[in-house]
Amino acid sequence: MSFFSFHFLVFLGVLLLVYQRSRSKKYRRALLTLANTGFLLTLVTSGPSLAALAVFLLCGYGMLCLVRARPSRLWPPVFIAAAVAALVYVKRYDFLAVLLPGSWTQHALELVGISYMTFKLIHMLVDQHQGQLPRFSFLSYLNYQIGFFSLVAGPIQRYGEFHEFWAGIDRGYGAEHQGMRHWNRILTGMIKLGVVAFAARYAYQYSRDELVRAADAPSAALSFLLSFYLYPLYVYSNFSGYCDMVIGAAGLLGMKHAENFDRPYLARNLVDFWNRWHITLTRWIRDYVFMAPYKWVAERWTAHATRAGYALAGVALFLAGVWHGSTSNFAVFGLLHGLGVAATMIYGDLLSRRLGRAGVKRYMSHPWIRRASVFATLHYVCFTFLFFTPGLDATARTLRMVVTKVLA
Amino acid sequence: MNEIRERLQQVFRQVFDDPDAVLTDEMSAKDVDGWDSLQHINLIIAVEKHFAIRFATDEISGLKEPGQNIGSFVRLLERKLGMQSRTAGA
Repeated sequence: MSFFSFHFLVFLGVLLLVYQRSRSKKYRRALLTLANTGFLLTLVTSGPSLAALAVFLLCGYGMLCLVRARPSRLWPPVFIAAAVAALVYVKRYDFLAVLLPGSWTQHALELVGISYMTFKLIHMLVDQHQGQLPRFSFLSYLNYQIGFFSLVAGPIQRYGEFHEFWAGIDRGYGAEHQGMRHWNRILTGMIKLGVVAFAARYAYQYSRDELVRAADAPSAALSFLLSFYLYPLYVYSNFSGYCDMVIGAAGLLGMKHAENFDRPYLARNLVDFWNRWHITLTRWIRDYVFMAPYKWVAERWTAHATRAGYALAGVALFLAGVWHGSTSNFAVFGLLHGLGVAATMIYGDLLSRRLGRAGVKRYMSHPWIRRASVFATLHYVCFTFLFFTPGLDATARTLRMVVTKVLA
Repeated sequence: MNEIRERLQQVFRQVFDDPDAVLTDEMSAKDVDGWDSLQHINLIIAVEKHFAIRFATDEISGLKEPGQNIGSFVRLLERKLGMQSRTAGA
């Protein structure tokens, strides 16, 4: 069931009606479990996939119980490695074809939401190991993992936020002012998804076709420029619209989700961009990919900490890019972002050394420097989005056409 | 001045290489030039060393979330050090 569908609105409306009329927490929890399970089942493609998903969820719960009952430094790395291996296997990443026999990647398993579930599981395992995870039960774990609001996309919710809702599960917001704000958020999301994203995608495809047909340099340049700007507009309005719907719909039940976007195309560098784009993913990557190895290096070899920071930030953003899809174009997308973030950090440190803290502040607050930075960042990001569409061949064809029709 | 805040200020001055830095409870990462994610972890490492404590991942990232400030940092330190919270300015 898609979020942007009549079926989903009916599903949400019926759920809200029953949910807000239910009197006990127990009943509301049971209702939400039923809704989450029902929503999940509409997305499962086959019996084996459902069985594999059940195994993944049960194993995850088992791991968490073991970490809670018998704390050991051994568990988190072993369990995280197992969860990541399951993710890589199910997602059939292109690079696996080089490492494993072909038959290993030729399976028909499709585990709905496994990317987000793996993120959530790793977060729970680490936080439980460090004694920071709020109390969990099988039902709270299950609903956190398969919650329909952010099962396949949207903000990555932390268990603490979910637990706050689950422990005090109330009737949500119906007719009050707050409820209207949530409905408004849903409507905003629908407009972004159904109007802006739809129109941007249509215009993008049209301009790409026009690029193929273009007979002279000016029309080819115009078509390319249109597609160059329209695809990032489509991706942003599509994903942020989806997140608006998630945040609004969850808010109607009284559940909080963190904001996932903050005007990303106004970022003044690539580090700033990732602090504004898919914010919950960036924070997850910072906390569970970047932080531990950086701390480990910085505590032991302080003199090398800065360079290690550049390298680890580059690797972390590369992994964020690779995570977006299983085909090789996403590896290029990740590489461009990883290199861009590392270069931004190096440039920032060079500026600090040369101008001093006060000098950097003056430099950064100069209006023309700010405008130039935003312009350059926007265009670099738009360029990286050329590699966001599946298949490197298609991107290579587009770039070849630009060279032959516009630049030649 | 709260003793913990004073000790935190010493660490802060070292990490941010600013001998004149003065911490207030309301101050947050946005108010300090150079308090980015990397410097935040450097600050945490220095605080861990100075106070002989360890922070969990959730605590480290929580300190940089919107709404968190030096006051939150001091309160977390007090909790971790097992000390009674003191009222501001007492």
